[in-house]
Amino acid sequence: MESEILEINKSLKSGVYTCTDLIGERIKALEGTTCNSSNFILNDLALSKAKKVDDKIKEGVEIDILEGVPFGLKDVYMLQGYPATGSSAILRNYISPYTATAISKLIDAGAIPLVKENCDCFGHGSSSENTVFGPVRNALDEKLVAGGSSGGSAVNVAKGYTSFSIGGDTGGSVRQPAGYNKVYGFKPTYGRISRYGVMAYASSTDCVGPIARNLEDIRILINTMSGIDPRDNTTYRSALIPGDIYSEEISGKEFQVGYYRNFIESEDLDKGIKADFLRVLDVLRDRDIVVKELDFFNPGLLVSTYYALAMAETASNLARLDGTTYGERLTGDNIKEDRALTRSEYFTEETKRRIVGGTQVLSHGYSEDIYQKARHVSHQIKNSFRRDFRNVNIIISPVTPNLPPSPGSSLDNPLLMYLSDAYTVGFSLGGLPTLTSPVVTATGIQITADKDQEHIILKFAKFLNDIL
Amino acid sequence: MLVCYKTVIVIFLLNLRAARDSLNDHKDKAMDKIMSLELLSSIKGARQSDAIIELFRVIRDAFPDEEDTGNMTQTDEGSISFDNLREDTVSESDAREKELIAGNFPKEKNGYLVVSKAIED
Repeated sequence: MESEILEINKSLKSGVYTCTDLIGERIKALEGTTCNSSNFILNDLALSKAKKVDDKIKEGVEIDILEGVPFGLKDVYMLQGYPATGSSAILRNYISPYTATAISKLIDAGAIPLVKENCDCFGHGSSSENTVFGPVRNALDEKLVAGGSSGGSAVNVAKGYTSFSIGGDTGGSVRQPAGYNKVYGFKPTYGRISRYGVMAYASSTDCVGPIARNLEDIRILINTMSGIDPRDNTTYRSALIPGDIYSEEISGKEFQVGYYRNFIESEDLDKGIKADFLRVLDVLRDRDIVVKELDFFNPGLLVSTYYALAMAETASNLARLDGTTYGERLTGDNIKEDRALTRSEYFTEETKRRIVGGTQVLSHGYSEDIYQKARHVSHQIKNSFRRDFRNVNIIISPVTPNLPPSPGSSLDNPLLMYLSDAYTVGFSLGGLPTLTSPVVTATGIQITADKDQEHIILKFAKFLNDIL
Repeated sequence: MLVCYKTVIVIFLLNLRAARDSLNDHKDKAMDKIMSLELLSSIKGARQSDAIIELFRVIRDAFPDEEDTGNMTQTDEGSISFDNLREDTVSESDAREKELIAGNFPKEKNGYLVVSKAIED
């Protein structure tokens, strides 16, 4: 099974290259990129850790599989002593006082943090253009957007600057840029990986998500980061995904795959993506896999429901950013004026739009008509998934309705940007594990299973790779 | 005597109306304050965008099935489990963390965070 993590481990142990050489090369590549994917390259930290790995190897001490492997982290993760800006102006000079649990687990396993990655400000975007560090460019075609919000992370993996990156997925922020840059991006079951130390966007769907160039690395990373964290009470105990998962056979009629008819019949779906998707259904049928057509919610309603809830949550979560205890501060006549001046000056237009939308949706008159209704629809979405997974093992769907857009179009037309999340947000509301695999369509395919069934997704993704 | 009673009733009703008007006026003022997006969001000139209006129109006009919300457990909702809460105790930050927290103060004096006057006259 292909794995860059295992390949690096083997090369370091057999002396093909040193860890210092590896990190040095990656730093050089990051510094030379024209994709604008990095906010901060952690040269000194990465090189000092690399030296320790080299010393260990020289002393003949066995190294673990993640030791010396360079990774990137979206600039919404805390890493003690290093900047954490959320790609925002208000936290431009903020230094993390502690390290996020998911990142701590990787560092404890020996992986080397190499770069804080550019992204949409606080996760507010689908193109990685809503950032004070300048827009991220697509790894495959710089005339296109990188996707978002974890655009810098997907680009760094696609370019080979990092062996893997840790993005954050609230409504598709790992899966969509993974699709746009043709890499694997995984959103685990909600609660499988601790969110402690991640800047909160919409807490009810925020997930830590790995991005990598192959499936085996995704498996290793999920296993490393999962588990209960007393600092995040949504976490639960999960079983390790065994390494031999790919050798298990997927046998014809016992394995049932579903897809949503209304996703595919949508007039907004790109014709090429639709044709490629329909073709894979035929390939599966040819392999005696049972393919079932399912009914689901209208994509427009999914987007509306998701954004009503996400904006309400982000308005609450970002209320703490007022220049009082940390971040930039502008001073007025009193504390209220300080807050208003600071927030008006340092938030981007898109962030303000979402905070104002969230504030309104929680206010008198709107709460009943919109917010409570969105919660109601969200419950129904979860119920719908429960019914669907009694009939199928896997649900597949396109990742995006369209190809990556040109720079500027998302910022010019926010509604269009929100609608580009049509196929990802439903699975976020359901809290379900979903993988973007860079196969089948131009922006990949989403593979979703029931909660805590990550192993089935990986098994099916490998099967799909084998038969295509 | 009847005239006197009528006068008392009229005065009572006038007082009642004045009290109601005063209450409504107070409510209107309070509502103005509650409904001010600028005040609530602490963002100057805050107003709803066309994109958001359109987005919310879809959910406002939706007709969710009232019956289809049953049997949702806490785990299904992805909410906090109350079975396994951590100890409700203060855990002291280490010196490095304290130093970094203080380093992030926007304004500092003698090691303390300086904030604007919070209590109005």
